[in-house]
Amino acid sequence: MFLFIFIGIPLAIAGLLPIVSKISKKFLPDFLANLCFILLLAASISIYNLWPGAGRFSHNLEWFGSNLNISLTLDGLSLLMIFTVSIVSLAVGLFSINYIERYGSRAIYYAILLALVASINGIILAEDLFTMYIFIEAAGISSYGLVALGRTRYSIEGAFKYLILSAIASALILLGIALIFIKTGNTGIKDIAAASGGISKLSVILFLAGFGLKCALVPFHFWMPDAYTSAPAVLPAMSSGLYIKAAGVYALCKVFFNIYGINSAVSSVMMYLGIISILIGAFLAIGQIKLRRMLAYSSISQMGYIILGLGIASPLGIIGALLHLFFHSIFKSLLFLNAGAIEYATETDESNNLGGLGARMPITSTTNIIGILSAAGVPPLNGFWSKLIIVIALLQAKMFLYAFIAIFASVLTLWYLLLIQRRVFFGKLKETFVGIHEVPFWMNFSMIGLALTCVWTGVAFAPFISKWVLPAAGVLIDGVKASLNVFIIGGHTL
Amino acid sequence: MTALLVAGLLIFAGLAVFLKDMLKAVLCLLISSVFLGIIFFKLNAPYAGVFEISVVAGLIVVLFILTVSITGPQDTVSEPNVHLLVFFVLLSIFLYAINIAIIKMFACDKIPISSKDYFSLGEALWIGRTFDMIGQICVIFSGVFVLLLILSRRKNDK
Amino acid sequence: MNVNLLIFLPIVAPVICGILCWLIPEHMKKIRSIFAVLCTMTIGWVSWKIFVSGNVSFTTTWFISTINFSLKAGDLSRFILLWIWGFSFLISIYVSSRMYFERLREFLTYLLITAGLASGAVLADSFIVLLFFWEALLITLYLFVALGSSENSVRTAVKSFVLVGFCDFCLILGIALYWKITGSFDFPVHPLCIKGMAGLSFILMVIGATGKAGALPFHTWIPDAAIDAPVSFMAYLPGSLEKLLGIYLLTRICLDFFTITPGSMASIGLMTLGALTIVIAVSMALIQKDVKRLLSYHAISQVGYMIVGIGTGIPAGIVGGLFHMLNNAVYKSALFLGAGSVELKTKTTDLKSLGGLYNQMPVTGICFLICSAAISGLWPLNGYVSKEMVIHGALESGYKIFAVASWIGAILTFASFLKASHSIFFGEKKENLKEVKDSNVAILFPMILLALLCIFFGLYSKLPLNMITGAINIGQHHDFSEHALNIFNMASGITFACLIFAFLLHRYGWLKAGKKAYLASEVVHNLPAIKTLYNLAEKRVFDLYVQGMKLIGALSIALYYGFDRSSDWIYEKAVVNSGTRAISSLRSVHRGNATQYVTWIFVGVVIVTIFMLIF
Repeated sequence: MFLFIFIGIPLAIAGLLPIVSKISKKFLPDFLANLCFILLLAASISIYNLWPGAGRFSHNLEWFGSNLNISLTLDGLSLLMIFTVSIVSLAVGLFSINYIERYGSRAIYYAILLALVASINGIILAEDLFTMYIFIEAAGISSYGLVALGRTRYSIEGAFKYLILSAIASALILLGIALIFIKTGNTGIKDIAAASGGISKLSVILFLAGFGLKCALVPFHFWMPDAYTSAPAVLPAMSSGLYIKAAGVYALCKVFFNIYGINSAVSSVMMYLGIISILIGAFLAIGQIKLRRMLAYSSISQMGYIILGLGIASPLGIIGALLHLFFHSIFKSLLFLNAGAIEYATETDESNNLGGLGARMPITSTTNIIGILSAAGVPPLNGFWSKLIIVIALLQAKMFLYAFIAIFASVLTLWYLLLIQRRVFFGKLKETFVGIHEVPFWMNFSMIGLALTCVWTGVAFAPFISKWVLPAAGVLIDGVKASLNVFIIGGHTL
Repeated sequence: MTALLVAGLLIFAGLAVFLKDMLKAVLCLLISSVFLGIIFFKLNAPYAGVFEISVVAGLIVVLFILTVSITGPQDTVSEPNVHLLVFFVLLSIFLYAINIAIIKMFACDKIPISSKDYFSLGEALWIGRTFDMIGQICVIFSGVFVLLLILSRRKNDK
Repeated sequence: MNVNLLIFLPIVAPVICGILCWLIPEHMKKIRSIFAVLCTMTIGWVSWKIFVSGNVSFTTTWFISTINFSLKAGDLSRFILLWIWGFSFLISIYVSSRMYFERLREFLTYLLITAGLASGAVLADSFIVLLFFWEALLITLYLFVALGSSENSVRTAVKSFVLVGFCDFCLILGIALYWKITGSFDFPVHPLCIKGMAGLSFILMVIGATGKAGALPFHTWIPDAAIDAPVSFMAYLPGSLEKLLGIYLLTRICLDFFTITPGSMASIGLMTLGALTIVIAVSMALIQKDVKRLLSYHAISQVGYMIVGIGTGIPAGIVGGLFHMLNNAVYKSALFLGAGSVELKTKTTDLKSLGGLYNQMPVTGICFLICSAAISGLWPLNGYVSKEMVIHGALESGYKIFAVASWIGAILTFASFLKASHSIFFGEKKENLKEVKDSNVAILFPMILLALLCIFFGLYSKLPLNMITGAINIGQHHDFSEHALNIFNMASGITFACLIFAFLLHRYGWLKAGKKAYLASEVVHNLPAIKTLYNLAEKRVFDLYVQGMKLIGALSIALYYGFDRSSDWIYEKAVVNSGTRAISSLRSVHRGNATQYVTWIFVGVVIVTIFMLIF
């Protein structure tokens, strides 16, 4: 039952909110939604404490003694993901208390947000590929809703584009699942992994492209900048922070590490995709004027690091990738929330109209620079350690060119992000913005919380790795070791 | 029969992408996903079929239609024909690869599906897959909320 | 309380107290000063506890499991720790009373943090921990010097940072080499022989240690800091703490990390360094006309004695060197504090404009005189005892030349202090100084205490010498205190002769300059060849930093035109232009056209498919 609360409670509250909003339009939705997020964070931490340390933790749901046929599974990796989801969603939830005022109905907004969180948790806890697919779709639909939350017709257009491209991803993934199902007669992750016989190479391609679309890897990334630019800041924070990680990276990990077992072909495709994303994302981010568009390209670049780390498929590379996954969730949602705060205060998203906001919005400015330095990998903030580990893993694997590009791109990252910081916060205040103020309390509160998390996880990265990331990496490393020979190369399976 | 279904799927999917009129494109998408759902059933993947028809063909298409009707007729984006050409070339390469794969797969003598796995629609929905229903609930919730959101704003805009 | 955790207290507590000190608001000045004094006193008491409780150690793993974070209050460490806190206590009393000192808040904060870091450095029991604290001290050094009110303060701070930083860098290199040889960052159980790679490591580490203590040729920031930094800083860091740290490390290097046999290359090299430091620095000191600059050159010169003493590798020399370190810290900080007291009252430290202050500032005067006598090595003060031990050590090692250098040093030291004391406290009274009164108790108290220590350590040298011989490992037990004040031997005979010669020299110079004490050293200054050398030295021709900076300046100009401009041109033409093109062509793909997007996605899928098929 305990595991089920991660899906059940947000879903229940989501269903409740439209009704509740008849009674109280503001306070109750805020309160209930954030209470739920706090509860989930507390639950994820207490599950960590109950956690035996290694191995899987399967759970069969019962209702007064009768089996409901709902089984959830938790391993180190899903625990890390759940924890990430809890932190970021709490931050976004608190941020929304003030932020969402301008975007219409509060109750419905929170309901969508909760449904999104429930779906993401569903992806993480599912032990069946098809179930996972359903939750990916559900999370996708909630995301479209959040994109469409914007006021302009661009946001509707962005949502529409997002819908089309996501539909392609879903189709590819579904086709992949179908191929697996034909082959093995099953869709449970454990059952497929246990089933003997080759698994179609075609399904590998389909999954790579499908999850690559979800992860926004180049050249499957096109939906991301358009969708993020047109949506209110909470969507990019949720999507870049959580959705693409759960639906993209996590699902990719499950499929390639726990079902197929990674082989050199997949590994090198992942590394190519990763390195291309790192480079092209960084180049495209340079000189973007719209804050969120630039952060979207930056997300593409950072996702490249994660996939690159996974593609190395060495224990160190996987640890680095998972560490970066968590850290990127934190600092990128922080940066998106900051962008939201800037837009909230100035009602513009174009950085060349801004300038000198630092004196007016000291908290946003400070948290933003913490986020920037984290993203660029400046020690001792968190991004530094994960990038360092990935680079070390690359050097260990004797891939010097990749390591060089990874470092080079992180310099580019520092460059374009600092450029933004300077353009927005430093320099002379434009006359039109003389009257602006620091954003309201809850927005500041959530930004400060995330910034402190950046600093804290950066300083205390060592215990964090050993306590949270190592068990998660263990799940994947086992996959690397155990199923190297399941994959049949050539032969009759194309 | 399968070939016909696949051909129908392809044609309507292609139309969905390339038709200039959004509403017609969405209707084409609807038809193509129905085709896909049928193909899933034929491929002994009833879960996928149920889900394809219920979610993609149902909910998403409703979303599309709503979106299209809200945004209304916009100035059409002029698209260079070269994309169309490239797209079709690439698509046919891709489809050819898939076709070969599927044919090879069916050519395999052993398809490990036991009789137990044949479900009726109801069984496919309920037995052993309760968790998927939670997912469905998520999807329906999200869809409904999004509809509420768009509708409420439409009211405000007016 | 666990005694092993006690060891953290002198490191962690002052840092916390320092930050608290900084947080106490400006209008609660007095409370802040009292708080700082109480802190140093309490931690001083704790360090006394550690001193008496014997070997305390603490080891835990640091971030990386292979490197231990280990602290150990070994014999020598405990001894040095005690003195670090003794001096911190006295200096904190001294500065607290000086209300005119504007940046007292920063000063007290830095003082506490510095003391904490220095405690960490002496308690460290592995190279990494040592380096950690050692490098952190560099930062507080910079901050301290930059506190000065003169316009050059920041420039001098940079100079000190660069010079000491270079020495620290040498230390890091030395330690890295040492690690290469032994494969461990822990302090070694058995010392290494100095040969081959170990020799290089030894040289680098010695540069690190002596550079910290202020030996040649990395000393040049100290005279500048004497003018540009607060005088209480001079008493605290170059006067006492850096000597304690540098000589502590030098002792560890010579006794625990490497073995120095008397007469070996290492021993001779060290003694040469020491002798050069003594003679050159004291010659510079002689001609100074500002008391703070004069004292700062002596602070350098005295290090030479310690290095000579430790470099002998002979028990008498080593113990003498360490004792000299302690003595020097005592009287040199007292002298600086005395100079500060004079400066506070007269607003000048220029010898020319001072004079006849003895009647008005008797306590300051007496303390200054006692300490001058002690530094000059007058019988029976502490300076005499330690200098004699160093000279004995040098004689015993068989290289008499180093004893001669010490004697030359003794002559010039005494001459310069005669000049200084004479100019400040005796002679003609200046008109504008008639109203001057002696300083208040809080300023006098540390000086009095230190002056008394000078006498006490001279007359009863048994106590400090037993502490020192107990603290280091030099083979069989020695008792040096028996003959400490023995004057009936050749060495002390020569010493006395030197002192008399110095007195005569001063008198001759004084008479020749028309009874102007501050010109007493002009006799030496105007000697034919020496004058040129002095002029060059005053122009900083021998200053490594100034010359180095000139060289770097020339290099940077050459690089600017030869490399930077040309590569900038290439960068401008090749990288920027092509980069802009590439980015704009990339951007042209992202125009928001959905069909185009879908096409690209399928391009990707096809490429992946082809790749997988080929693989």
